[in-house]
Amino acid sequence: MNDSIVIRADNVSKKFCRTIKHIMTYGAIDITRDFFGIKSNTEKLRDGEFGAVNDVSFELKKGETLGIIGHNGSGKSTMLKMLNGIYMPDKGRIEINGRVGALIEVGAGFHPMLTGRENIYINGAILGMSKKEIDEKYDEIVEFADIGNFINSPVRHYSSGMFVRLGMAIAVSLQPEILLIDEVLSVGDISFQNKSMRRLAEIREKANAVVFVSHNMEHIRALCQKVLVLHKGRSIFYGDPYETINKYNALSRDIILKGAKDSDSLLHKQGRQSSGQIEILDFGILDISGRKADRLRVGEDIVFYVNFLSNVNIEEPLIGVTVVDEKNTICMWHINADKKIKFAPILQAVKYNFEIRLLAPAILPGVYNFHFTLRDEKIYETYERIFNIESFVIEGNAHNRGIIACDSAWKLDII
Amino acid sequence: MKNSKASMVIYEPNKYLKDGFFKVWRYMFNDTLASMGLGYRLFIRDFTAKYKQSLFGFLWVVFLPLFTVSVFVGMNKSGILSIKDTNIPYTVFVLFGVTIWSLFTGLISAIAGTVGQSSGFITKINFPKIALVQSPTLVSLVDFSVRFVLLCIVMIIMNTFPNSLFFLLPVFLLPIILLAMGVGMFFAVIGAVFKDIPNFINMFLSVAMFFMPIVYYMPESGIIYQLNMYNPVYYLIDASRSLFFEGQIVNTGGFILSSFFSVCVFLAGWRFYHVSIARIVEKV
Repeated sequence: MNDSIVIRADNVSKKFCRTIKHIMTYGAIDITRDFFGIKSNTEKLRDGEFGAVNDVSFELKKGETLGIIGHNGSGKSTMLKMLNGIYMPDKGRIEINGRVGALIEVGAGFHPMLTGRENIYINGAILGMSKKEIDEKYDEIVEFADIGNFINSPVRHYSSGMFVRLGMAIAVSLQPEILLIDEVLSVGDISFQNKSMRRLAEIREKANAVVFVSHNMEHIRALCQKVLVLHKGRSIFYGDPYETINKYNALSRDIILKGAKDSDSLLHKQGRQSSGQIEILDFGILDISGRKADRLRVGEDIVFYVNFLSNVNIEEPLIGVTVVDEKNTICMWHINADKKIKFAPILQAVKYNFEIRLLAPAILPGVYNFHFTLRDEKIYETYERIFNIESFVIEGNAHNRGIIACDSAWKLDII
Repeated sequence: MKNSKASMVIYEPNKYLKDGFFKVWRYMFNDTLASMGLGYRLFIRDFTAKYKQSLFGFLWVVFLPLFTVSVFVGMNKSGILSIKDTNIPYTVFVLFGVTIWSLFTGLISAIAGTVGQSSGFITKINFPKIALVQSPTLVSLVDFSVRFVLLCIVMIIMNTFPNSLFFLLPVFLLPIILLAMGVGMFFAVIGAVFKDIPNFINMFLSVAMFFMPIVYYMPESGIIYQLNMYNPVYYLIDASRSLFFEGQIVNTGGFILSSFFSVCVFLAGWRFYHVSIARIVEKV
């Protein structure tokens, strides 16, 4: 092994059981085999098993930080636990060169009945510190946790914030050569998070390598030289953070869009408040070339149409079209009356095509939804109100902080 | 890095087979040595937590033997039991038996439950798992010492004195401890997957005492005799009692065989624990 390589994962796979019944059966079989030294074919998936991590490979050189990102259940934590030696891989090989310290869950192993002081010693020992080491770092830990006199109270009387602060303080007092971190930076309030970030940066300076699992792309971008994207246990992108995070964002949008499309019929029922007088015949989004689409680029016109048939006459049609993002923030809300646009009365039993063209909206890459409403302004009757009638994606590489795309001019002068 | 070869760790499937039969023993031994400090810490934790919120503290440890002894002595006095020809006062006889027996059962049930109880953090932190066995072992030994002090007090009250070879008792207790640890480690692994195992053990052990010559002498014949002819626990407890009070072992062959059996069970249980704990971690 090349001396500069600190971690090497070679086609690593891990499988788990789906049900308790399988856990018990396979558990009994596996431990019997292990005890009698019968080789298990761990590579094969047995009935009721699934691959949590499949064929993941990467190398980490001295001084590098690897970020692992992925959606819930993509195998990030399992991968980290294998690197830590908590789980053995079922296939492949992991080589680790140096003393490993892992922050997988803050405060794991705390005994609720014992005081903070007692728990520092126990937790430190579980994390692999000797009594002498803990003695030396004790003051530092207490200061970092900043829980005052509570250090002599049983941990179960702590607020949840104090609990995680103490756990974090012990964990960051480790001085490992290889540091594994699983989504622990989001504990505590902002000032504690900043303190933890600073401390981690210090540890990182001294450590040979860091593997970092997070959902926070800002942290990943700031800390990592390499990024690995896991999806359903497989490594789908691996490389430079900028590029990988863009690919990951595009993948996230696809998944959200697919989710929205799959549940379309359901959303219709939930999101539709109808008088029953309107029959929706067709609806959709058209791109600039007039084709039906659900993927558009930043700054392109967006055409949204609805074909419908009414069972009643609508004297003064009032039509509303809203675009909301994933978090339900209203990005645009158009009502014809606002623009002094008057439509002719809608006649019953006649088919209509309604169309609205949004002219080059400056919205950032992301997943968006249309809401559609149809009312009669004269009699204040709402005939149709459909939330999430159609979803679409705005593609692009821009960072999606905020919702509006906007060019900017910068200046930093002495005054 | 200076000693990169030495500090390189490899994780791969079927690792124990690749390491070979003998190397695993070495790892087991190294693990045990390395985890001494942690084992002691966990012992302090379990010990403090156990007595922190209890009014009577240590008294709980001696309540059970005292209660059991008074039941048996009462039954014997009232004629339900008819054990008359003990060389030492029957109270001391029973108390000694119960003290050793509770060491044996205490070790088994404490060790058998340890992995299940730690499921909260064995999946979160990597540490030598043998420390989870060291801690309950120490707790059980402390409990035993407290009970032994009670035994000594009762002996002084009853004006009974041990044989001059009493100092050999620890040596004679060792096989009992090893047997209990072996069985405990075996069930610790199984019990983490099959949650009914700890319940079953506790039920079995609470009944088993009555089928063993612990509060009475081995009968000459009959079902109890047949059952205990091949029971190592009987030979071990009987040998420690006869050594302590009479300075001799009645059935030397039985004791030696039972001790050998205990060592085998201990080694097998230890190895079983060591090789399968990684599998268990992913299943709890």
